[in-house]
Amino acid sequence: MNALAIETHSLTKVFSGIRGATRAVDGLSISVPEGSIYGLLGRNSAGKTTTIRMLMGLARPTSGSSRIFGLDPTSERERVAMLRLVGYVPEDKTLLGLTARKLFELNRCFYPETWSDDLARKAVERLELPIDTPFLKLSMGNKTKSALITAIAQRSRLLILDEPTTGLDPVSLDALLGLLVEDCTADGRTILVSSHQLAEIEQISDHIGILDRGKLLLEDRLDQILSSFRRVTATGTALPKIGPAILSARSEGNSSQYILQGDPNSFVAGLVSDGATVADSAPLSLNEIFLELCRSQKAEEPAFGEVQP
Amino acid sequence: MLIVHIAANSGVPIYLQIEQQIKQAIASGLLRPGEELPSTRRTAAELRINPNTVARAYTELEREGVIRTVPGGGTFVGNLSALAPRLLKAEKLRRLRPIACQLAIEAAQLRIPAAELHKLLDESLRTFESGSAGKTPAQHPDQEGDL
Amino acid sequence: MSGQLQSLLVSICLLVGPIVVFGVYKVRRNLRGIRQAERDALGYVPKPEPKPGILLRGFSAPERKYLLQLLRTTRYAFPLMSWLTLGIFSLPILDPRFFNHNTWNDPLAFLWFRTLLGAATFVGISCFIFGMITAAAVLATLRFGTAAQFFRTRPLGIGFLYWTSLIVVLGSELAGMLTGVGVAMLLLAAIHGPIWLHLPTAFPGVVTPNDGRLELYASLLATSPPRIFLSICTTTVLSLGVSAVLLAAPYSWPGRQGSRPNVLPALAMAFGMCSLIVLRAVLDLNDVHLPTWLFVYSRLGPPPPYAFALIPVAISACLLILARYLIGKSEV
Repeated sequence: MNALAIETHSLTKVFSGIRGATRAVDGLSISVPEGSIYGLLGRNSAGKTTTIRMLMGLARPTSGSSRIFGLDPTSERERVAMLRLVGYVPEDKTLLGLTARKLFELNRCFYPETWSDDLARKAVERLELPIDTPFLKLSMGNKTKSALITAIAQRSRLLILDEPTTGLDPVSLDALLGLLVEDCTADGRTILVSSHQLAEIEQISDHIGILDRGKLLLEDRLDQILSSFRRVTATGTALPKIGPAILSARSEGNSSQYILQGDPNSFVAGLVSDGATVADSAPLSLNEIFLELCRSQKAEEPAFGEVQP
Repeated sequence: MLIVHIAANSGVPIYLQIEQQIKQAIASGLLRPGEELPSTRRTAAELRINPNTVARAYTELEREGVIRTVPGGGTFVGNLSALAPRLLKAEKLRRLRPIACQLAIEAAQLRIPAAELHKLLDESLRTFESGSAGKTPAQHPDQEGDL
Repeated sequence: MSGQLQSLLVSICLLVGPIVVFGVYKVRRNLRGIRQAERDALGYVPKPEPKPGILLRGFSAPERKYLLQLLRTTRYAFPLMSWLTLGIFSLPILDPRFFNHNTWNDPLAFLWFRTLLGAATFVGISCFIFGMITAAAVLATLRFGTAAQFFRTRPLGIGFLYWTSLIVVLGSELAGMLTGVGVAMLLLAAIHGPIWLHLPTAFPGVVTPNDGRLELYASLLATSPPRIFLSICTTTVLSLGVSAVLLAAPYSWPGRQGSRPNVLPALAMAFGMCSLIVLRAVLDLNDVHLPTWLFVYSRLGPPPPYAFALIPVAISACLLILARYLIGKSEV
C-alpha cells in the first residue's frame, strides 16, 4: 500500500581497525514506509548511527545499497534532490554558527519551499529555547533543542532524528513528542527516530526496527510485535524446553516461564492440550521484548569484534 | 468529555487501549450520544502518540458502530439505542471479569465455599447502595436495567 | 646582528599589530552584539530574504545562500592578504643596512636588491604556506568537522561546494597578494623613484677578489621582477594543488575502509612543512632545473621562460580535479 520512504538492501559497513575487521552494520535491510514513524532501536554501538550516516551520504557503505524516496545518497547526481527532502538531526550535536537564531537564519534559505518561520517560532516557545545564547554557553539539552528545531522547521518529507533526546529534561521531552506528532506527521510525512530510550519510542512509533551488533533482529509494525510476544507461566509434568515459538524458557521444579515469540496462542493451546496448566499469560512491554531479544542474541553469537569467517 | 490515559509501556497495544477507554467513557456516561470526539490529530497530539494509531482506533470503533464520521468532518459518538445495550454491557462485563476472576482465585485459596462468597457480594452491594442512598446512581437513559 | 633582529621584531610588530588590534575590535563588537541580543530577547522574527541580483539569479536558492555565506566568511581574506604582502615587501625599507653605506655604495641598488630578495624568498616560503592554508580552508568545509557535517547534508552539490570555495578563497588570496605587491612597488616608486630603471651596470661598491657580492649583483641584474610576481601566483596555485590532494586522500587503501583518524590532516600539513624545508635545501644544493620547470622563482638570477608558468598551473589543475574526485568519494 505504502511507498517506502527509506529502503536498504544488505547494507554493510566494515571498519578495519587494529583488531581486525569490525562489521558495524551487517547486511541490513530495513524498509520505512511513508507516513509512518519508524523507531530504530538498539544498544550503543549497535550500528544505528552508522546506518543513518550512510543514509545521509556522510559515510559510504562497504557493500549493499540504500534508497531514500528512490534516490541513491551515494550518487552525486541524485543526492541533492534527496537532501532537499530530508531533515537531519545528527548524533553529534555541535552546531554551526554562533547562536540558534543565526543557525535558523542560515538554514531557512536552504529549504525555501518548505521552511516555516511560524513553526520555528512555535517550536522555540514550546521547547523554551533561548535563541540568542552563544552555542558555547548552551547546555547539552539546549544544543539538542537547537538542532531539533532547525530540522523540524524545515517541514521535510522525511525527518531523520539520531538520538534526539540527548540532554532533554522530561518536560522538554514531552513537548518534543507533542511537536513531532502535531507538526511532523501531517501530509504523509515520515519520521525515522533512532534512540535507545524505548519508552518514548514506543509511545509515538508505529513501526519498529531492532538492531543489535549491526544486524536487524526484528522489524515490524509495533502492534504486531506487541501481540506476537507473550510471557507465559505454566505448570505441568512434561513441559517443553525448546520449540519454534520459544524465545527463552526458565524452569523450576514443575513450572516453567516462557517468553514466546511468533504465535503464542497456538503454543499455549498446545500446552493446554498436553495437560499443562497455564497459570499466567501476560503481554510484554517493548522494553522487555528488547531485553529478551538482546539476551538471546548474545547467547547465540560469538563475541562482538571477532572476524567473521 | 473524553479523557483518555495511555499506558504506553504496558504491552497492550495503544489502539486497543484507546478503543477500550472510549467504550468505557460511553458506558459510564462521560461521553453522550451525538457528542463530538476530538479529531485524531488533536487526540494524538495531546496524548503524544502516533496519529495513525488513533486513526486505527477510530476506524475500528466506527466499524463496530460505536462512533461515526460525518462526511463534512468531525467524529461523533453514535446513536446508541440500536446496539448500545449489548455492546456496552459486554464492555462493562469485560471490566469486571478480571476482578471476579481474582476474587474466585482468592476464595479458592482460602477455601471459602461459593455460597459464602455470594453472601459477601450481596452484603457489599447493599452497603454501597445504602451509603450512596442520598445520591441517585447516575442516570443513563439508554442503558438502564441491563446489568 | 642584534640590529637586524631588532628591526625584524619591529617589522613583525608593525605587520601583525594592526591585524591583532582589528581582530580584537571585531570580536568585542560581535560579543557586545550577542550580549545585547540576549538582553533584548526578541522573538524569532527573521527578515525576508532580498531578491537575487542579476549575477546570482542563475543559481538555486540554497546555492545563492551558500555563496553569500562564503563571501561573508572570506570577506577579510583580501584585505588581510594585501596587508600582509604589502608589509612583507616593504620590510626592506626598515633594514638598517640600507642606512649603512658600507655594504654597497649605492643605497638604492641595495634597496632594490633587498626587495627582490624578499620577493624571491616570499615565493620560496610564503607561497607554499599560503597554498597549504588555502587548501585547508577549502577542504575543511567539505571533509572535516561540524561545517562539513552541516554543508554535506544540505541540498548543495559537492562539485558546487568545492569549486566555489576554491575560486573565492584562492581568488581573494591571489588578488590580495598582487594588490599588496603592486601597492608596495608604488610606494617604493613614490618614495625613492623608480629605482629599477636606473640600476648602475657597474658594481657600486669597492671590489676585492673572490667577492661574493659581485655574483649577487650579477644575479640581481639578471632577475626579472615581473616573472617573480607571476611566480608568486603559480607557486601558490601549485602548493594548493598538492595540499588539496593530500587532504582529500582517503584514509586507507581502496577496498579496505579505515575508521576515522583525525590525526591525518595534521600529519599531512606537517609532512608538507617538512617537505618544504627539505625541498628548499634540495633546491639550493642542486642546479636550478626543478624550480625552473615548476616556475618556482625563489632565487635571484636568470629567470625561467614565461611559457614554463603554464606547467605548475597545468599540474595544479590536474591535482585539483583529482582532489575533487577524491572528495566526492570521501566520508565526512
